Amino acid sequence: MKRILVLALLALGLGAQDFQIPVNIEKLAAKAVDTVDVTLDASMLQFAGTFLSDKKPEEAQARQLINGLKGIYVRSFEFEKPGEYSAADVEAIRVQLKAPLWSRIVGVRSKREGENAEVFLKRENNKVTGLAVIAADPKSLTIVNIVGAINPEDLSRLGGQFGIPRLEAPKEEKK
Amino acid sequence: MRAAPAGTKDMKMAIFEDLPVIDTEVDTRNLFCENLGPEWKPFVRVHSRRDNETVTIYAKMGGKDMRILMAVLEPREAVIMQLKVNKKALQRWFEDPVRMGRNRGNDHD
Repeated sequence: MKRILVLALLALGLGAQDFQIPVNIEKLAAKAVDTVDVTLDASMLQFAGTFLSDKKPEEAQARQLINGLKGIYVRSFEFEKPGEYSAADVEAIRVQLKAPLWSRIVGVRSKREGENAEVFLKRENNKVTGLAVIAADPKSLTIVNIVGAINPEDLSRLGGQFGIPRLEAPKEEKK
Repeated sequence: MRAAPAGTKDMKMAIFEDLPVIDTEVDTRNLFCENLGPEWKPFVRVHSRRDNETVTIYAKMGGKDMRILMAVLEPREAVIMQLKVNKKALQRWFEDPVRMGRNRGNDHD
């Protein structure tokens, strides 16, 4: 089964440009053959962090990463055939990720495979406070919303964990 | 054969067969909404419309352990499990909650 690598890391800060997975995206669940919903809020992440050792390098690294996060949310839809979701469905997500707080740092489009992936960063006071990735292919759509202090480089470490698809770390575009 | 997933300190399981389950997603929602307190947090939900199967996992934190409540509903069968997991098991749950849920808490594929 071919899975779309979609990462939507969407910050749920307190600003006016908070990102939220649109409620109406749930209508896609009625069309999808498989849906996945993962919710890790701040308290659960902190609790997980207490089990990680500061003495073991890998665990310490993971703990440091978790400490900066306030939430990880994954929503994934897999469809039986192409065309079950529309460009408007994706646009409803993308429209929230606007400047000045949000900036798109990566956009990948494969015309041959029909796969698209976009990574957005939210910055406040020169600090990254959220990361959003939207990835889609003709038969699947996955949204991952990570809230908190995270660097684009951390994507590679988070990929494959917490229900987040494995992704290559994007390089930030030069301004 | 293991009687319980590795890292599990305590496991309670109930299996129901020949159930008149019509919509596993709706029935799971009703099951949890009506019977769980606010200390239980929704963690993972996986629904297959193709197979009419829903796996829902709630977590409850406290002390040194985490309790996991998992319901697997299929059209004619339901499995309800409550697990108390230790550090190692908890790491596996956080690292790949979807796979752990699909495998009923056992990290073997």
